[in-house]
Amino acid sequence: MASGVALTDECLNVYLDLQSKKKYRYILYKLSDDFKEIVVDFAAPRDDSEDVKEAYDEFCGKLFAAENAGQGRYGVFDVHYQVDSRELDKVVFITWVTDSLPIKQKMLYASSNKALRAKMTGIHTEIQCNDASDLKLENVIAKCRQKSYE
Amino acid sequence: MSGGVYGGDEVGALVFDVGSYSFRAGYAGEDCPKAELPTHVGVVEEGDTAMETDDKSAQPERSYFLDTNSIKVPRKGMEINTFLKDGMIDNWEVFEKVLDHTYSRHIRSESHLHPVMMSEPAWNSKAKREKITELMFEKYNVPAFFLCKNAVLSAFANGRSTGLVLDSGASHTTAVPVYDGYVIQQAIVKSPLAGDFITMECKKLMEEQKIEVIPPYMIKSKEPVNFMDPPKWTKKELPEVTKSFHNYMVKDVLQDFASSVLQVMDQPYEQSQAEAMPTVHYEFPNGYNRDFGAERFRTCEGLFDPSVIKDLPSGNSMLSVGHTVTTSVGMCDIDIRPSLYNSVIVVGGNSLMQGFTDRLNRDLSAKTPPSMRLKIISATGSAERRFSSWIGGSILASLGSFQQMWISKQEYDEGGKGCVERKCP
Repeated sequence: MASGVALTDECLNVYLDLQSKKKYRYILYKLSDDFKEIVVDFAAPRDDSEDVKEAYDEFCGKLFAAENAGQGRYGVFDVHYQVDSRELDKVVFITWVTDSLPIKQKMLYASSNKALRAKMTGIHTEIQCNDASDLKLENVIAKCRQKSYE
Repeated sequence: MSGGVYGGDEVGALVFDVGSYSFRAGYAGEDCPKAELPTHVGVVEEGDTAMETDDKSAQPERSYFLDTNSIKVPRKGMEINTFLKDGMIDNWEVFEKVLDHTYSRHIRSESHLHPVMMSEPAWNSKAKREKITELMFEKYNVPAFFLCKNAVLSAFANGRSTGLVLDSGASHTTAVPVYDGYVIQQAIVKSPLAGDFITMECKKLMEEQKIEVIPPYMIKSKEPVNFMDPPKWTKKELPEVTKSFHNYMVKDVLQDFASSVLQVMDQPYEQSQAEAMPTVHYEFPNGYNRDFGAERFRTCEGLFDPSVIKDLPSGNSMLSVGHTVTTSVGMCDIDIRPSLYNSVIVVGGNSLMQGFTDRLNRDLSAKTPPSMRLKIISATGSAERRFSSWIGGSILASLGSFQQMWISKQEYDEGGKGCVERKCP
């Protein structure tokens, strides 16, 4: 079941730049004002000298700002973490819909994520985040590690 | 956002949502259904008695009385029936009457002008899905149709594409796991402990307390009486009503009693604790009034602890509300269990009973594995809880982009009724 919402070409182009060319650290997507398509809201350039944790905080800050504006978001983040001194980079897909949103936003973001997610190859983990604790970096990394063991 | 509450593109679609207590209908894009009809209807068999003058509603053999106002009028020989069985449409003749009535009295428009989005229970059978598709296209000639699982609509309306939908309605409580927007069919769990069960428990309580429940239709006049005094009322002159009608009307009073008096304890029932809780005053339609104390809690305890239910014919194999959730999650793949516990979505009219979600939270916390985080989601508004699937359908069906999802008349003509399996999985 999906809502039939479309994607702009830019959505996937930007994603490929993140996923294979490593041009971006994270991308935010949103529904257009007329709810017809998903568009790129923001793409953060990747700076390898920067602390990933800081970038993640900035990413969360943008999600909270969307929440305060009464909107949901989709996010793609290139997470970096270490397991037994191995450096790992994993791309996660986050659906950000909080319980305080108007019901139309909840309905649309929940029913449209597949349109975007299904077109993206190379997503390591997909996480449904509905509150700040779901969004914590520890939680996200834990989900990635869990997935890697499978 | 500008525009109406839900805004959206105008395609003039209708949304029909069938629940075990009521049938909800209205225009897509609106924030609540235009009409709510009981799923029960009154049927009078005409037999050889002379035809009544009102031949507009009189059929050759049977007359139907639908809608809240006409079903509650005492009529000679009127039986009360429902068109549902196990949550699915079973009596198609009655269901068509309900649809006819909805189109002519509530929607007030021609059925061939509006696409129809309809909800269905998650366990609906293939034969019934095809039958409803056929009915809508052949009889009502709709331009487009879509059939959607009510649990999926409820999950989406609560902002989740993955979660466990706990729907406690009139005839049953069900736990339906939804993953990525699809129902996990083999893990659906149903229990008959729901609204109708509570009504039965209330009936037992009244018998035990020797309270005669007199529905309003029998009462001509009444006088106010003092606390716990015998009621003073006079009986109306009535036609000979059927047992099913009388029971339906008694049930109506008991439902009101349940929603105003009963409360679920926040922990397993204990007499001493229940007695220490505040009592609630209730006045019956015939004027009899008294306070209810521990009974308020004892009567609904069975929902969460079936071992307390007295004289059950089928033994005590029924699942408590908490158990339906844990059993359902237990049947799902181990990898998705954490995400199900993290989104337990509570919907349905029976879940509005005071203390319901608190107790559920307590019972589930005790059973959730420690490595998993439990989160219970329930809309605070009663309309959002009772109509969550209707509202979800209303938003989807009003989207311009949803047009490509509909089964169009042309697709139906080319592919036949089987296309519902492909288009509406």
